[in-house]
Amino acid sequence: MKQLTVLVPNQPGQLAKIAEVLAAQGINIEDFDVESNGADGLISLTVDKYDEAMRALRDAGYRTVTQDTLLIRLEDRPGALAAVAMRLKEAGLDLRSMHIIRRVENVSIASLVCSDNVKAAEVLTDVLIST
Amino acid sequence: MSHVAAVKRPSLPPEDRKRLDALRARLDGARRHFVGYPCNQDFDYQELTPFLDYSINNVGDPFGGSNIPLNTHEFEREVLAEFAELTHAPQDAWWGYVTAGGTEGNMYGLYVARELFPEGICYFSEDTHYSVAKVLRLQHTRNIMIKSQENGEMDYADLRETLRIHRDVPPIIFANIGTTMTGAVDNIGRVRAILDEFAISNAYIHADAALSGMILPFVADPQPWDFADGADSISISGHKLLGSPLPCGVVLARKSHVDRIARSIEYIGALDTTIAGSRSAMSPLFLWYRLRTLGREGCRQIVERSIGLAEYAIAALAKRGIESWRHKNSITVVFPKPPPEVMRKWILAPRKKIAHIITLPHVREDIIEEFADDLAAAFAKEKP
Repeated sequence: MKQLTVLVPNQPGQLAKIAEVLAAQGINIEDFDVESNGADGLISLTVDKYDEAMRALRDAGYRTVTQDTLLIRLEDRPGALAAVAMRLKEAGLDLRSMHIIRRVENVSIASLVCSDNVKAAEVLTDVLIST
Repeated sequence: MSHVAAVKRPSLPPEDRKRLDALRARLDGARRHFVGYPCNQDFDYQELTPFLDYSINNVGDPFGGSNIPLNTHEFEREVLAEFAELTHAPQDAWWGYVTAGGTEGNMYGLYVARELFPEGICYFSEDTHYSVAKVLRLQHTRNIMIKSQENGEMDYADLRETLRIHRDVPPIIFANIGTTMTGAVDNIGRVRAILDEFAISNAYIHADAALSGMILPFVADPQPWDFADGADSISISGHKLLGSPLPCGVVLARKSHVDRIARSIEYIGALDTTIAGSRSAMSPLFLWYRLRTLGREGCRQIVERSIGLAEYAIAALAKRGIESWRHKNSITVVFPKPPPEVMRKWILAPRKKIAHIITLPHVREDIIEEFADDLAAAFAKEKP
């Protein structure tokens, strides 16, 4: 079962909008979870047609992250991402990429891909948003 | 001996000819409103039409000789020499080739960096074009995004802190010399100063100067951006400021780096380090023709005209109560994101809350006035 995470503004009605986009393409939501933080909202979805859902959400203007990526939340300060990379290195993990997805109100949300995402999730539990 | 019939000269059925006519009409219609992307539409290459009768190919290293005499390598070398001068490449110590566009040039620069520093980490700002993330993934280069400042320029405090934490890893800095959205220039002088501060000698700086690489050589006070300021490789688009019917560009790199790569890939039996195999022989010819017909003075005039048009656009928008701005030495005019109907008509590329026009010479004053009218009307309609 594959999961995807959609970044949305923390406003009422976002889940309904996403459900509408997916329903229009005949995609069923099998499970969902909603998390909010300040100005941001994160909607995690399990759907029956994964690739079609990614395409539909992208076409509707949503930023969508696949489960191959870890999402982390950090204080927006110089070197914050580099410090996370160092923690992974010290744990013997090899960072492949780390990208800022959104910066709002002194908080950065970033995605990362590592040589072993499961272990990385254990190392970064304090900043992890989703797996 | 049996007779083998010659291949008949093919001709287009009438219905397909109509489709070509329709395509031409559509392109003519769209050209007037093509203001959101950096592609100069103001050029004339009719004199090169006879060369479409040949199957020509610039396969391989333009300096390496070729078994295929149907090439334009000689012209390509002249184009590269001109760009090398404009970018202050070290005399007799540079190498390059004409690419299929800016992305290939960036890919080449990052490839050289990756070969020199396999363990390196690439740092690039939030405002970097999405193709760079693709290239890094393709090349399996480790990478960390650096924050951007509000104006789109790299956040040097974030870069400094990042380099401090990872000072034992060779950094590969991807510098935007004119970001896609705002035309911001990452200051290579400041990047070099940070590297010097931490005594990091194993470092590589690639400059993505897609549009601004043909602007900054012709302004009075350019930001630090080229080989003289510490770049190791530079990618510049040919179809952007100069204008060309085909996407194209050049990539230049310090020869010492390229030679090291050539040695390292010798085992494949070819010293050609270009990314592509077959390469366009028309693109170098277009660039050569453009550079020769314009001369340095003509290039300078294009830049001055474009900057003048940017100022004109800012004033035209201000007259209608719309705030817009541009970076120093930039022809990218930034304004609040317009409603969808304006985006569609004027072929604009928005990001978050902003959009831009790029005032290349085909974006004339009358077009700017029409655009400003449309934008003002659309914003007025949106107001409650």
